[in-house]
Amino acid sequence: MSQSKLARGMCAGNRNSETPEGGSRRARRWARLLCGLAALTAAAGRADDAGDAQLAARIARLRAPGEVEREFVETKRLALLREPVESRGVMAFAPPDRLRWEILAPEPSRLRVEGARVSFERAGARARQLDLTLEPGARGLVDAVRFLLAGDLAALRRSYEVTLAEDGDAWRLALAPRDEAERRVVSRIELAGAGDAARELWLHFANGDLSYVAFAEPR
Amino acid sequence: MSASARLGLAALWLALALGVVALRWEVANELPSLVESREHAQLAELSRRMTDGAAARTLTLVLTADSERAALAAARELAGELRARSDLERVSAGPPAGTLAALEALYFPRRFAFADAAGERLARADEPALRARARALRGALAGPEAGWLAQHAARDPLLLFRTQLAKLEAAQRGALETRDGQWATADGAAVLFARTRATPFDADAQAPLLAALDAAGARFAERGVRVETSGLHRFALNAQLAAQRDAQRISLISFALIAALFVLLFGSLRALAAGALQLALALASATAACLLAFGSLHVLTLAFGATLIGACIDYPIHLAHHHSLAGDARGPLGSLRAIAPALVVGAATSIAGFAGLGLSDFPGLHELGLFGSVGLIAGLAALWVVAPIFPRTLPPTRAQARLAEALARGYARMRARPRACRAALALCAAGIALAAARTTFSDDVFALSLPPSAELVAEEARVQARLGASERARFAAVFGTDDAEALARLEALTPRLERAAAQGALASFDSLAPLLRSAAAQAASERAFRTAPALAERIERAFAAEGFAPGAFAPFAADLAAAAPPPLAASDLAGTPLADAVAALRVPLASGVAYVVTLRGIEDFAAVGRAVSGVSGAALMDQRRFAAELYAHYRAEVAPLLAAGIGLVALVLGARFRSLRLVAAAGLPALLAAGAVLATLALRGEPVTLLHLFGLVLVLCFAEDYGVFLVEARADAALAAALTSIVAAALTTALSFGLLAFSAFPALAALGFTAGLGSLAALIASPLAAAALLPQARSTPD
Repeated sequence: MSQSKLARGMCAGNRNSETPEGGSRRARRWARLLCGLAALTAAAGRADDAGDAQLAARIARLRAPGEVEREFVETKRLALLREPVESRGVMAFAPPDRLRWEILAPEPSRLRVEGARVSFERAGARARQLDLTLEPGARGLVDAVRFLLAGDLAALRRSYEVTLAEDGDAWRLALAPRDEAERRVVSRIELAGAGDAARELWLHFANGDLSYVAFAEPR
Repeated sequence: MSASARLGLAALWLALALGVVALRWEVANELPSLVESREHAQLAELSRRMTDGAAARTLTLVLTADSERAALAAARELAGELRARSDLERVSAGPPAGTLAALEALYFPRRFAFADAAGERLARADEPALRARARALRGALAGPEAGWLAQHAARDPLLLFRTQLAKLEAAQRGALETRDGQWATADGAAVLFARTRATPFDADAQAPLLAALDAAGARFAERGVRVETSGLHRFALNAQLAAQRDAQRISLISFALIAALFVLLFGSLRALAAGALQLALALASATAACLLAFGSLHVLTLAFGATLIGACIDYPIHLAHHHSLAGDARGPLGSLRAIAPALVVGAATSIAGFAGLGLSDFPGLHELGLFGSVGLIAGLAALWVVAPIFPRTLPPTRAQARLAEALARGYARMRARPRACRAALALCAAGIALAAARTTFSDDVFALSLPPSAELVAEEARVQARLGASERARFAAVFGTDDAEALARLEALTPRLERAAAQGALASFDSLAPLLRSAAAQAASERAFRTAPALAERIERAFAAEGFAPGAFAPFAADLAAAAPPPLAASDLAGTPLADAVAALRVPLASGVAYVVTLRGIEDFAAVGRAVSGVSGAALMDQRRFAAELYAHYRAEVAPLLAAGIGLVALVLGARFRSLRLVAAAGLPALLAAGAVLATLALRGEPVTLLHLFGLVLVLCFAEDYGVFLVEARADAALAAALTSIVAAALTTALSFGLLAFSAFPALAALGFTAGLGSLAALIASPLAAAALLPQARSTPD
């Protein structure tokens, strides 16, 4: 039985019941309070159901149908630096699980994900395999992008609490890491876009630093 | 004492001995532990701890499938199943949760104490070098690592902790990679580690686990996932099962043959029952004594014990023949009294030989010495207790009578030609001496183990190659009376091994050096940063010049000014994700502690040895070579012991017979039989191993009994009984232990070959020596 049916059933049962004289006023007050609470819970449940459907639909629309390549400009506002640091690069995704996050300037580096394999290489250094459990910052970025582009809502929900806000064609997804180690580095990830494409990404670091990524239009 | 009282005593004795055996039963089967000596105590203890330690108890499982994803999923599922097992201490499918937080808590506050040489140089670097460092940090902040870096760089602008973290990560995972928090190999296999609670050599404990792994392997195979295993467990179980199967088979056949012989020769089940009870009392007493004295019984002592049947059964055989062919009117006890001198002298000489083993430095020989001595004493005493079970009279069967007659006739012919016998004896002795002079020895104790099946070896090799695992039997170690001393030696050894690796002597090595440093080294490294002139100010200036915010590194300056944290100790790593690495590579010893360095891809073992030998308290271990050295040491020690044993035997014989000729007639067959075994091995080009030597002790023991029986019976009508009992005893030994020579277990085969051949040689040598050497006038066989 759904929560709304359960609430309706409780209130109906209460109306039909005979309440004896004396002490019945208090009983009626309790019954009304219970009905009210049940109705609220049912309404929230309906909203969750609706939200789930909306979220699932949004994630399904964001799923990359084939190979995707997007240029981006990343701007980091870090307490350590006097000025924001800007980098340019390319993000490429090939379903179901291949991702490349490549910084072209100012310091070239490349993060590659193939299934469960993650490697990182920097100009002049040998590529090394990464254990994302030891790289919470990189993990937030990688997981958010790859799960989203793969349309994998279940995986996204395993790692994050996901909330969606929509306004017409525009949408904004907020991801709060479930893993404590990751939360100590990244407090929140936000993705925003319009229609089927993500346009912006924010990584809110736990120490107040912020990384903002603006994606160019798909090629 | 009445017959029923004796039987009651026998029952009580047997119950007590079997009770001790049941309560204390514990079998060991590591060969090196049998031959370790006090002189090599520290190395031997390390060797033993290594075969029993966390690394040895760990099974590695490699899962492969069509896709890496399927292999990883199967590994997760199998890990879940294995975690439910109570016989496993730990199952690891990937780095433990919370690894980063744990490493950070341990090492971030100690980033100065664990800085490497390059880090320490930065503390004194000039401004251009610091600015270069600042630019590198700024570049890294533009990349995907920015979040984590930005959070730590304010306290660690030189990224000392990040460098340390990379080393820790490498030390924790070795040659493995990780995929979504799971262990994996570069070629897409998933990896699991399962550490058993019991030693891999405890076959009883490992059998259910290995059976469960086989069942899981079959189940996964149906889904296209292949599970392969590496570890000592399966090898140990197979070896032990094979040894047990062989020992059981041989024991059964041996018992059946002895029973058939008893029935054929004596036609009496009571004689058989008496013999069986005497044997049971002897073996149970010897086993109980060893378990009480040593806490466990080595599998080789058990094998040796089985052959002791060959010596002990000679006593009831001799009694039965004497009772039957020259019986005393007072019944079996009267017959026993008549042959008591022969039995006591025979047993005394054997016990003298075994007692000599007790003087050895080797625990294995102590065990054999005690087993043999107690077995023989108990066998002799048991004969006195079980004698009333024999029928009061035991008329000879037709087979026995014919055999006795034929032997007496043959022996009389030999006695008629003493010169020819002496010539034959001299010829045999010369031939044996010539051939035996070519004897070679093999000190490879491991060659005595059951050769593992090719299938197991191939699977082990595949898994090891996939993992790029370090060698199991060859490793380096540093010893110290405490952690401080051992770690200081490890710190001295590490750069030497790095140089050896750079020169190609080995591919790489693993040790706890990245995880632990001596307190002195940690303090020195701390000092390098804390006493570097104006380090915080210089960093502030250089980094500010590269765009970093003013005051961004104030936390670094504060840390530098604060008191240094206490040095990290091995005990601090207990309960952390690094505890496994510590358990595998830090070995507490009775005399202190050892830190093990595992070696990978050894190309030039001698060069590695040179690198290690330059460090005080460091040793390069080659388990196989080490065991061989112990064995060589054993051989050097056992020779004078054998000579002393033979001297003792001669003394006992001299005291009894007071005639050189009689002593020679009694003692020479044993020497000839042992020599014949050595000569045969030499002619076959087979080296003499430890187990051949054990067998030779046994041959000396029973062959010398044969000589004593004949010499004791030289002047009376019982000579025919003595001759038949020798034939029966030798045939029993040859038939039962000759079968052991066909065992798949090289140790058992060596023992069987020696005992079987030795008994036949003794059968020929003892009447020949008696005919040649006993005084002619007094020799009047029936």
